[in-house]
Amino acid sequence: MNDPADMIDAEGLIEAMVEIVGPEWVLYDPEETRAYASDALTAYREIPRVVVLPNGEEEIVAIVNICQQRQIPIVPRGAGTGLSGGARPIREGVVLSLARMNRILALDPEAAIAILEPGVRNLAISEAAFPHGLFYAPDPSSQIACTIGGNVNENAGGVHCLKYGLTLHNVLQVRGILSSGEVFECGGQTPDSPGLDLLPLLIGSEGMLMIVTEVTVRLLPRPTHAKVVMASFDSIETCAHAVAAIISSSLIPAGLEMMDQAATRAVEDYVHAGYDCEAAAILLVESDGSKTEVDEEIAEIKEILLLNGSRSLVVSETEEERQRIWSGRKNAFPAAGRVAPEYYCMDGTVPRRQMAPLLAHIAQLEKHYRLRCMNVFHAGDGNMHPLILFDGKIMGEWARAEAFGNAILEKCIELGGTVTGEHGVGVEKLDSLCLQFTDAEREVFHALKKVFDPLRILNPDKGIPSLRRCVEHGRKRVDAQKRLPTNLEHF
Amino acid sequence: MDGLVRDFTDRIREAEAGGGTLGIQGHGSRSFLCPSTAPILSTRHYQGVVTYEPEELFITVRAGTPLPELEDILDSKGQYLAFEPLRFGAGGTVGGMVAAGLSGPRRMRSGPIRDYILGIRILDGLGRELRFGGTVIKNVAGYDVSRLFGGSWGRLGLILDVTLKVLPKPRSSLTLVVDIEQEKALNWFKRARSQPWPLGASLFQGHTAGQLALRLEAGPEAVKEAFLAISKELPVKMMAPEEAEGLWRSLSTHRHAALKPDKEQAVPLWRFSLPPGVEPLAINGELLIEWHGGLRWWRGLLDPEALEALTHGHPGGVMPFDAHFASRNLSGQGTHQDKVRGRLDDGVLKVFDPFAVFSSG
Repeated sequence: MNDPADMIDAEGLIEAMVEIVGPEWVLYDPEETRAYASDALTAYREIPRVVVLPNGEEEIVAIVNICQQRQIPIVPRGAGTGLSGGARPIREGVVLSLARMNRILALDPEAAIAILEPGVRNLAISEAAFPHGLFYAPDPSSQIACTIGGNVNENAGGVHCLKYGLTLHNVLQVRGILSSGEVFECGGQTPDSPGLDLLPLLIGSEGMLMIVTEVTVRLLPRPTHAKVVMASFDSIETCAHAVAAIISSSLIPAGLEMMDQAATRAVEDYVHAGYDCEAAAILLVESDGSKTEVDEEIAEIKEILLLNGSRSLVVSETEEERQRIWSGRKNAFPAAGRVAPEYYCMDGTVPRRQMAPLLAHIAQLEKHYRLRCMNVFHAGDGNMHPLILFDGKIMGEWARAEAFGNAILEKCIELGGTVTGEHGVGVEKLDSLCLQFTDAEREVFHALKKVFDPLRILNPDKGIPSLRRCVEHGRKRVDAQKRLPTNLEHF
Repeated sequence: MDGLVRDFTDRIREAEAGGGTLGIQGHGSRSFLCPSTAPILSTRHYQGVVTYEPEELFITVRAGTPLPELEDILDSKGQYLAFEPLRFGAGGTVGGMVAAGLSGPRRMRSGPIRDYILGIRILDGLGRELRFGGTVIKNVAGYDVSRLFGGSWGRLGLILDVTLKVLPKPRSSLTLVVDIEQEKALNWFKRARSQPWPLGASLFQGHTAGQLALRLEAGPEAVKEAFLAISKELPVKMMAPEEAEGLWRSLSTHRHAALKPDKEQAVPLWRFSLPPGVEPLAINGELLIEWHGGLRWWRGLLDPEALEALTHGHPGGVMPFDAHFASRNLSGQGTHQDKVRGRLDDGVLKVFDPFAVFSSG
């Protein structure tokens, strides 16, 4: 009984997996599987029974068939950069890592598409497309590590999605394995494909409907020029107002990011991006395209910002300067990690005009929960990332941080928004989803899952809360609706 | 309006209880593609804007709102429906536009209609009122159900309201034309794909040779820049703005001479949905090629074998644009379909409409 496999592998599961993928690609020793215990939301952990790393669709089909026969849950995993616990293992289940399937199968510059295995890193797509003057637009901040399979499952966004759209808008076709072991292809290279349009259902489905084995993305012409304007504001309200002014003009900036003072100060100490730390908030507005296009837009953006209360602004004159200005925004999360032992990142989205009221509310919550919060967000689409700072070693702080986060999300729903803009529900926001949807709507979600995964073996108990859970937590949308201000169209 | 919703609910519940069916209809402008023998459930009086917030880039409208009315409202704020929906007759309703999911000339630049659906409120086949999505662009809470309704031809349920993402209208537009061979035109698109030109729409009309029209849409400087760059490759001429508007409108309203039915209506109009890069098809007579090659219209007689030979080896669909279009499109008949797909589609339909109240579209 020296081999741990003998102790835990009563059903011969590990043996079966080894037979499919070979011994080096099956992990079951807790020393090794520990690395898979969580995604980037490390507060939710579970050591999986076994981690399997297949290489190819046939191996996945064989794994799914075994799990299906034995009713063993499968948790698919890309790079594990998710922020909602979607890839948190299930104790008795299999973690299916797609990391080895990282080949770019085809890149056709004439059709401007790339066909990818699920483990291809997001940034690697743009790198491969670069020589052809093309790029892959969605750029989540983890793009150096996160994979296209994960992006599809989370409908990942990024800094540039106001102009270029989310993963959904940039994926043409998805191929995968259903829990029946069958291959299913959805979408296509033709502009429209027959049947119901199931692609939007699969994109953002958090591994609950099928295991993605191949993704066809569209590539766009790479803008030849880009400039960013950094504008300072004396109040959050003025800054939010300037955002509305930009959107109301006929401009769609490539990026529109806002940071509050707590965030700029933390970042400035860390990367010296040249941020104005005296400003209550700063705004980064990017324009990209051809040189004339960029010059035209930047002039207009500057004018709007100055007219709308920006007290000072800087325009990047060189590519280095542009990168430096962005480095601050891109390092906001690690900067939070420097000023506090831990941080808890939220992902609610509200209509743009509700950003200032939400921030005022968050300031009150900071006092109530006695925790600091710094705010960075994709202002262009109202997607907020409050970073709640806490120390997990201090008794009760994680619980307070969690309660703080839930209070923010409730407020997002009340203001007409959503509990998650791009990080997904995972295990983290299950309770919040009770508030956002009615029983009947959640029933529809469960029924849809059943169509794709009747045995409920694909990432079960994630994404959609059960009716029981919502009842037990006493959280229902009816309550939320009653709290809505009457002048607000809640839809 | 609540009274109307109650009426809709009652009629759906009645149909469901009695094993009946209902055909959802707005103005019926698209019913030539999906004729229904079922009793009509009309949404035409359920109209009006629920919320329009230009600076939030969304509008929520009731399904029975006439499409031209919606477009006028957006136009007054300098905004538009970027997907340039295909419409027929007087334009039909917003609900019909979403349910048909048919895109117009700007499809390759803007993406399909479903990309612009942010939220939806429906009555399903059990008469339950359900909301999915919302008003914000980024929203990954729950499955993305609202977008399923794009191109669902009324089979999933009755759309009450839909929230659409709207965008500022392009600040300038310029149409260029050039006489060119079809093959050369299709090849040119392959190169154009990696160029940063604001190519909003394209149309080739002719046979082996014909005329190519290109619509550039962006800020004035960017349009000028692209015009100069394209001029270096093709001997393009500028088209007068009114003429250009007429040309593109003839496509988005489906009134182009090549699309109009012949008098006896004996010769079908075929709609080829293909990967844009597919070479010229071996058929005789005039073609209209939109979407940089992705959509090709042709009127003529084709037997099934000839059809198969034409599209062999290419994914995509070829269908006559006639009374069976919607049902063929939904079932995938005449395309490379499989049984898994059929089973999933069926399952999804049953989630929303277990008793097939809306089965006739």
